[in-house]
Amino acid sequence: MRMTRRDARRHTGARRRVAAALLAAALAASACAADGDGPGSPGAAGDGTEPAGEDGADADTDADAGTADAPEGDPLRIGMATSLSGSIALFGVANQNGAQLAVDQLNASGGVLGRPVELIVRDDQARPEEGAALARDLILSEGVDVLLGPVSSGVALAITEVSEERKVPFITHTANTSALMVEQFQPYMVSVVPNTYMEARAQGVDLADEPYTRWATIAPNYEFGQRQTQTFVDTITAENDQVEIIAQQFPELGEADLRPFITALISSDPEAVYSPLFAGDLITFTRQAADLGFFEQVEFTALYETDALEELRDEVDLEGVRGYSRCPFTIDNDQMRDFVDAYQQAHDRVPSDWACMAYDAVMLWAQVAEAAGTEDADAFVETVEDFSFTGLRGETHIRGIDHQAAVPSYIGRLTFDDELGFYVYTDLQTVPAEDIWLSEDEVTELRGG
Amino acid sequence: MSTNALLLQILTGLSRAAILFIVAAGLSLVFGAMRIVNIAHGSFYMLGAFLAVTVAGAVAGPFGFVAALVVAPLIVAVVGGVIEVSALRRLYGKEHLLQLLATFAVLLVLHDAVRWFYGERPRSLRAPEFARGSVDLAGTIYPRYGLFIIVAALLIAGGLWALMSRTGLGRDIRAAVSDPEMLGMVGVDVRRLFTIVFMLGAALGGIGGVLAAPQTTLLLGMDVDIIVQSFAVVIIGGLGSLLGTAVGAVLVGVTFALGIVWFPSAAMAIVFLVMVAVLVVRPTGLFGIPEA
Amino acid sequence: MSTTTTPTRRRSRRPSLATPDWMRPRTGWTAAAVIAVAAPWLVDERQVFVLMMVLILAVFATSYNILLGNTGMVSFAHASYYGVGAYAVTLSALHLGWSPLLGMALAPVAAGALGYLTGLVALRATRLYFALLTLAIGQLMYVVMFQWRTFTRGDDGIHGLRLPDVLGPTLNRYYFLLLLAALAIAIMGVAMRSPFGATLRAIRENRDRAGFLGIKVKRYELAAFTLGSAFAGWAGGMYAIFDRGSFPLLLHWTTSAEPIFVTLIGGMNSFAGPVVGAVIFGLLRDYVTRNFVYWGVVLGLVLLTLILFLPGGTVEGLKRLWARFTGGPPPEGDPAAPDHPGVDEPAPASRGGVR
Repeated sequence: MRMTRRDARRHTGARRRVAAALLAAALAASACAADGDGPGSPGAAGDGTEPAGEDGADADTDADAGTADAPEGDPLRIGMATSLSGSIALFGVANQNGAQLAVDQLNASGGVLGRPVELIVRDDQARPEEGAALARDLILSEGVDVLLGPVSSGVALAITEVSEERKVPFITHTANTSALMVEQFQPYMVSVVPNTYMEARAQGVDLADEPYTRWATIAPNYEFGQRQTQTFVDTITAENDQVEIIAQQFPELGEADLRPFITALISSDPEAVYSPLFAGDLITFTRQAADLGFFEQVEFTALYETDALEELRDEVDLEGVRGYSRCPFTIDNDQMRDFVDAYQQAHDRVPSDWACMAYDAVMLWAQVAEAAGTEDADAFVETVEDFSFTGLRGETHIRGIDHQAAVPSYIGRLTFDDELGFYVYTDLQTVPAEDIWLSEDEVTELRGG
Repeated sequence: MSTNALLLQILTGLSRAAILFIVAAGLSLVFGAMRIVNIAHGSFYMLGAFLAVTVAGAVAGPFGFVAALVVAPLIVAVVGGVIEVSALRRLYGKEHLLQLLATFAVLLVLHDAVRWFYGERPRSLRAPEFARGSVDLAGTIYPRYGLFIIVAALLIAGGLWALMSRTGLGRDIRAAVSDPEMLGMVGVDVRRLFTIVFMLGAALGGIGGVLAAPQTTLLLGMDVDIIVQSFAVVIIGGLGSLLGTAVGAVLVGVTFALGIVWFPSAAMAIVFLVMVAVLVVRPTGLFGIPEA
Repeated sequence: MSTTTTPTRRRSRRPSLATPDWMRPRTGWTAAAVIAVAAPWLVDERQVFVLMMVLILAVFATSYNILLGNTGMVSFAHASYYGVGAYAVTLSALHLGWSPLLGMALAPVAAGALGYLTGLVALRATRLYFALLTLAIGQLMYVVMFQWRTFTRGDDGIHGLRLPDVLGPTLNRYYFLLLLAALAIAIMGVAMRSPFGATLRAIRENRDRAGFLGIKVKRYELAAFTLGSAFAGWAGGMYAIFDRGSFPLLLHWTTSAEPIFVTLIGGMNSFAGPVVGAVIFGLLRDYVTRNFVYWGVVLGLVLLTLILFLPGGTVEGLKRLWARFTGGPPPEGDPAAPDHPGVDEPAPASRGGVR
């Protein structure tokens, strides 16, 4: 059954691509299409931003099988500012799909506080000032009850300021700079993504036990890559005094040609290479590295997430590569299985980490609102501290001091899945948050007492 | 660093230079003949790459890539022609800033047009059968495709040289480069010439995109990335000079490749520094045409 | 705008001439001031933020027009001085504990000083190569701000600047920024009406002739570049107060496109052009990005239409409309361009413009 759906999609895709050739017509047409998503249908923004030719099926057609009482009254509104354009747009689209599915499920089961829920998504263009402006706009004009998003950490830091100023809860599910919990912490912020500190420490602790001593790193040259690499290096060298870092490379985010970096790495002759490259950059790296014989020479470990693996298919032999993930769809529990089924129904593919975590963000907010009995922001803050919510990663506790959810980090080995046609994680190990996050004392100290 | 490692680094720098040369040659050609700095040139590169995926997908089998290499640049050239005729042509003779801004507006439009058709997912294209895998160059493993694009760039450079020095069209273009005022007077149809030059420039951007596609991942945003680097190339080499573009491309490609060995986090800054240094010493670039 | 006007007409090109009565500076600016003061009471709070951004853009674009419209220089580094101004406020608060008000005073000084130093390098080239050299210099400054993480917090940027309590309420912040914008525009207006401004325009009209007349062209260009940079820094400082933060993208070359578009929309040949352009662009961008998923297509097509059909900008278009309406003489600037493409160079070739 899945094959036929996929074929159908490919067929329409092909037709659309032929149309791509006629660009003159396209320009006019795209203007019209944009018009269609215009001011007349603000609530439909969630569906309107679906990229053409992809994920064509609409989520809410599958979700109206609910038996609970239909929600009524003024809808509660979730505002999401995420990146729908630019090189990290892929994550933004996944964010949107995951959150929309959560909203549809909530509405199918009676809404939140008996009221329907609505998702409004806007493109922050990965620019902090856009993010701040959108967040303000969502609060002041749309009256949203909670802010979700974004992809970029710089944007998240801008949004968290608006959230504090306007006293509207902000749940971060993709951007994960630890500055949100430390220097710039404010009580309306909650994080359901492992922050940079947790993620890199989990990997450092794990990999310190491997028999490699000559390590190299390659990371995207911006805040996330730099921070993550630094924490990893600090951790692994502290855990294992044999470890030596012999080379570090920092290509630009979105660099199309990583080969000079790869050959520079090979030349320094490392035994193992650690990498926080992700998405398109990681795909590029994997291809180019394979051609340069990289995988035969070194042990590689990276943030292989579903989108990248899906794109790589069987092109490069990644069997047994140790990778890490924030929220892989192969987590073995009921919630995740149901979510994957529903997501496949709606989008004809498995969800990426970014869809899963956005789903969790919506579910956290809904559960807090139900527990507090109100959507009020201050009640949210009061309730969320030391709250436990049920998400795709099971029962998850939110710590009071920095509002960081105790989400684990996942480490696994890649194995080819014949049915899906790409590599997935097996033997998932979870590193519990409690083992790796900043202790409460460290948080206080870093905040400057 | 060992000789092998150095050789490998220089080779990767050269294959980087190959793509930069092809793309920047289009930029430089359009500037030389038409005096237009085309900020939308990166869009032609991106469009070429995405169209290659479409064409290669439609023409399955061993000829998919070859078909893409022919058809995608043709479509890009047509798009370029449409833009030239419908927008740029109206701006000749007006302030050059307007032309620059018009191309910037075109960049915005083409970027979102590609986003609309192809969505946000990264795309990829497999290398043609004959250029897959690696070769062993005296103990250095090097991807065959890297060699293929170096050869392709050399062929294109040769072709452009022949076009410019051996054909009537080339003669007209050279005349436009050295003395635009004269051209109209000697009876050349300047309108037609400009449309052809702009289409040729667009096609070169498209070819660059097709050739880059198999060794990278196609992302929205590749348009802006390539344009900054192409500018660096033509600025160093001197706008309007084919030779300068070639030298600039090699300089940028190899400087970058060697730079990342010694200054891993500042390679791009080094390229900009080279660019500033060249311009300070020679304000028109290494082989640039002096300004009237 | 560039065209085949007669020399006499061109000489008469001053912001204050050939202007309908209601657009004469004093009337126009008074009306603008009244609207600016009243505006926040007529719109909702969200839109007040949009208006604040318009004020910042107006200063940013007017500062750019010192280079572009007055001196004929195209710079791609202008955003860098804007960004430096914003960082002057946030960094002085972060590392020195300065009040943002003190930082605001530092912003134009820091940006102006940097403008002077980089201007010395950039002005070694002329015209197009000057433009491209500023691109390289601007990107270099961007990379430094991006990479110097221990000092600037890198790509995360600096957010959450603490403002004095009085600037907390949105309205107060708006009026404070309005005051800053009015002050900046007034100072720039005086400078451009002074003999200094007239000399700059003489350089734009004909650089060589200005040289023959004994004008030290480079020195004036450097002064214009420095002044423009200082006020870009001023606008950047306003931005830091508006957004309570700064981040490296403010310095990126694509940010330089904003004042160019703004100036183009309003018209670069009148002092008020960039201010009018800022209002139109600020509101247009807010509307388009809020309502269109593929906003780039819409914004690009709107801009392209403006470039093609209203190349003199809105101010000139309004003047022309007014002239037609009243039957008076058309404003300077002939809408009809010479027919032979590209080759017939209009006399006031922008120095940074291509060729």
